[in-house]
Amino acid sequence: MGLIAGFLGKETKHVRAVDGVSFDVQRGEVFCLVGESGCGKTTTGKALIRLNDPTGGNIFFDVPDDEWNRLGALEARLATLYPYVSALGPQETRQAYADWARVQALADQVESTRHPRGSAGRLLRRERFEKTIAFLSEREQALQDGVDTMIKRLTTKERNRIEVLQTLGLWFKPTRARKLHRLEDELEEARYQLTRSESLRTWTGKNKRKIRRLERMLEAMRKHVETDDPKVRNRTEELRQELAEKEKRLTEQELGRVREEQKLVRGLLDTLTNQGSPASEDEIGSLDASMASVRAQGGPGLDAWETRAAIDEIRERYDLATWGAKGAALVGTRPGRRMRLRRRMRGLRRRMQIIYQDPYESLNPKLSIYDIVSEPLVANHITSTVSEAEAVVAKALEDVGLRPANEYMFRYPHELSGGQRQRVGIATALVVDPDFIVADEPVSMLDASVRTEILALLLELKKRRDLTYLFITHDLGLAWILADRIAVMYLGKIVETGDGPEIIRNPRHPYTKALISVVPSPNPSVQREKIILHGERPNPVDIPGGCRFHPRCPMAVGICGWNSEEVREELKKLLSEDREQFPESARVTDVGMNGPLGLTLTTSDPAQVEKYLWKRLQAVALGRPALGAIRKANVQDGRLELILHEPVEPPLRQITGNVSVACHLVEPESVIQQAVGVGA
Amino acid sequence: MTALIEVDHLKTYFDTRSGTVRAVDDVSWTLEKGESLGLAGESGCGKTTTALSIIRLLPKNGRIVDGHIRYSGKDLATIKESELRRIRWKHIAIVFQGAMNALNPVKRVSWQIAEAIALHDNMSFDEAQGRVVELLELVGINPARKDEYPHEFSGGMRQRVMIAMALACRPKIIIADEPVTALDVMIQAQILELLTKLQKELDLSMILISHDLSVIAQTCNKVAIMYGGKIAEYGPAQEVFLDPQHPYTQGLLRSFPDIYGPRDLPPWIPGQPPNLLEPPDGCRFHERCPLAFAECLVREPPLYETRPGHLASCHLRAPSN
Repeated sequence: MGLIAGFLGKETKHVRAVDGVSFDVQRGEVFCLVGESGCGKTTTGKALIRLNDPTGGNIFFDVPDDEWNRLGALEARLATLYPYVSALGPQETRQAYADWARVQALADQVESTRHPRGSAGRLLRRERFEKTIAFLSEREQALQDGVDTMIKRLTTKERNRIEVLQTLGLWFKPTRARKLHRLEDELEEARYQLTRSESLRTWTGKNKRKIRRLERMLEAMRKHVETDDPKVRNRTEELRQELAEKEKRLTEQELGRVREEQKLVRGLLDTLTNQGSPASEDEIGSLDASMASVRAQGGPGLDAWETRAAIDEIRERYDLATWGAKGAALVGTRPGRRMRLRRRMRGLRRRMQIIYQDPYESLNPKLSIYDIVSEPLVANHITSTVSEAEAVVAKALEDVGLRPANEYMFRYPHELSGGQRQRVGIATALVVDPDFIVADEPVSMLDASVRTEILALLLELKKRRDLTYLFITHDLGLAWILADRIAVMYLGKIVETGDGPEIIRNPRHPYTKALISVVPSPNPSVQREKIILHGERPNPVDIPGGCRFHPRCPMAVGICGWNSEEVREELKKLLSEDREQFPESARVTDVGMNGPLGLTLTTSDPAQVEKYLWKRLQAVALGRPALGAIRKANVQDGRLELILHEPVEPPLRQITGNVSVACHLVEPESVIQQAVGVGA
Repeated sequence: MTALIEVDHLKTYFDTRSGTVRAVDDVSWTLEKGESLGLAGESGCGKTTTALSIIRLLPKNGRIVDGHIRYSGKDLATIKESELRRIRWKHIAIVFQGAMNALNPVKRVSWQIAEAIALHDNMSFDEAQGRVVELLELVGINPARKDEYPHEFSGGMRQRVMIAMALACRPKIIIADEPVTALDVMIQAQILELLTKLQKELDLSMILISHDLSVIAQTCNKVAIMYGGKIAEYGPAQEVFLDPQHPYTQGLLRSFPDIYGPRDLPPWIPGQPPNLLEPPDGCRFHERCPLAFAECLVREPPLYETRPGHLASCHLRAPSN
């Protein structure tokens, strides 16, 4: 059973970034999405964990086997019911809906009789009360032991004052003490500037004067330092007493408040426990009976409504894509659906995480490593205390090889190397203990020498934590090592998918072949022939018709989907090369477009041009695939009309047991065997 | 062949808050006419600093401490700034790292290319436009797009613009600093093909800087592997890649996944590159070297010539061994 099986389509304005992509990722495998930048790999990966919204399609995550089978059965049933339902008249349709609504209402009634006053909500409330009580008693203990952080915070000023008094003396009021520290810092900075300017052999006078001035000022201030004076000692004692009194007062105040609250919540919890009454079985029985009678009267119409509602219920429970999806809102979509999905996504964020591409950009430079890694813990309400979070973060950091964790926890991203930063990125994804990780080009920004190390880490973590990866990369060399299965994408479509080693050892789609041929190798003696695709990928706003890859495909032929504009360009080139071969009378004066699939040649002798064209086209067909698109030529009104092949987008067809390819030139093996069989 | 540019015991240091970083520490190599030299190594090993030292575009806190950079009878390390300006771009041009960000986002591409020509060739911007068209055609960009802004170009096209800019004043030497990092494999192959083609057509000499040995293996005929501010291995590319002499080079080469080899994770070099504030005693690689022995900890290995023209800085390659 697939962990994720789905059908995606993302459409933002007119950019079809991902266009009808289906695949499933099995639990515990590494699935690689391969392709150039802008082919929709990242969009797909992000849509899966709902960091962007798909326009249509379904994303199923972790559906239990029986539910998945039930969904299949229900869909099959709906398909068999369809002929009946479509034959129903408006009157019957209304009747079916009314029946369904009645059954629905009865079912609700049964539910409410069985579980009066929403017992689920009650459980939640009970849990919350218990948590509150636990928290309050924890605080009570802390207050009694005198280690409460709140009290500490409220008395900071007093404690600072005592410290200053002890180290510097009476003369140093808080402002003066601060000034002293500031001057000390400035002096240190000035001394550094001096050594720098000395080593650079630039002007040092300014810095020297500044140092002298600062030293004078500090000396003047330090004269007032007196710590052994009995006056100071007395004052310190006084302040100590004041502090103790204040602490005692505050603690008592807080203790009272905490105890009172505890009593209140305990009361609420008690009333909650004493509520509730047993459901009456008779009532339920009679409701069931009337439901059965409605069912018996209703025909296939009611059946269809019920099946659709059941499908929708399963979808709502497991599909991550339906919110905002057009056409996905079936019957029975209850209000609050969006909110519920959002809440469910929150829960699922603990199970699906992403590792971002660029470790230099994806870590907030203002946060320490601890802050970065603990953020998912806080956001997902996984830990409630700092010490707990610290323990989890430390474990995650050690897991990704940043040992000892204490040393890294309070550093900042700029203090780490690229490889270490990526480790932090991985720790951030791992800290919530997910099952499924989208790794979006995790090593493409790293030095070649560090790459393998990070990959080894990812594989080790996979084994140890039983993870599933969706690995996004443009480098087939990485896919070769990692992937159990691969999907090669081009312009938002999958062009080849299947078993990883099989695809790389034996690529079938021309695009995959080209990608494999350019995988870099440091061995200069291995000079394989490179298939370098020229030009850039087309703009996804304006996707070529037919096979999307045909304008760049080195193996394209006539049927791959050329349009009249492309053919016209090639034809013009050919005609200008062959200019001399025509007599003056039969020259083509103009090549005009006639819709996307037609061309009009203006010439005084169309018949001769036609004859010439067919002969020429056969000769140049290999080098100029666009001309192969000319299917038919008619002489009409003294002009030559050319008609092109209809563009057909190649479907993703299964070629062998575990590989599917979308290309007109790749035939399934069974078809080839048949053809060979017939020929023999 | 005569040496076109000769870097001789170059030392470039950076002054920082925590001390002096010895980014380039005693590096020597030569570049012949028509040759391409690859500078390879991990990030922070001094590749880029070496290149920037040649045209003296170091950041403010960097300085050339010692050594010579000889180019056509002059020492680029010591000549006056005004003299160096005449050499920059007209003789030695650089393709800066990170094509995505090295172009000015608010100026048209044609303006940016023309700027180099106008400043170094005493031409007006309008006069330079003809040359801009020529250059764009040379690097395979439709000249009709010359008045567009950098954001309208894709990553690969921006890199082509950067190359066109470097070629603007018909330089003799091009320094390409990580020209294909952060580009897709396909675009990477396109750009490398272009660089090789241009080098042949225009009879250029090239210094290619990359952390990716496969890029250098494809394009260069000489290579210097750098580690911790020093040269670890230096020699003809064929020899260095086929028969690496330094354990560091061997480790780097082994760490590449081979698509035609077994489906295993290749071995890698554990550990971090050394801190150049306080480089370790002895061989700088000894902490990560699988073959290190007692001598490596105390004595720094000189460059031993293992074969004519092939040098390796490793005690294991000492003539007595």
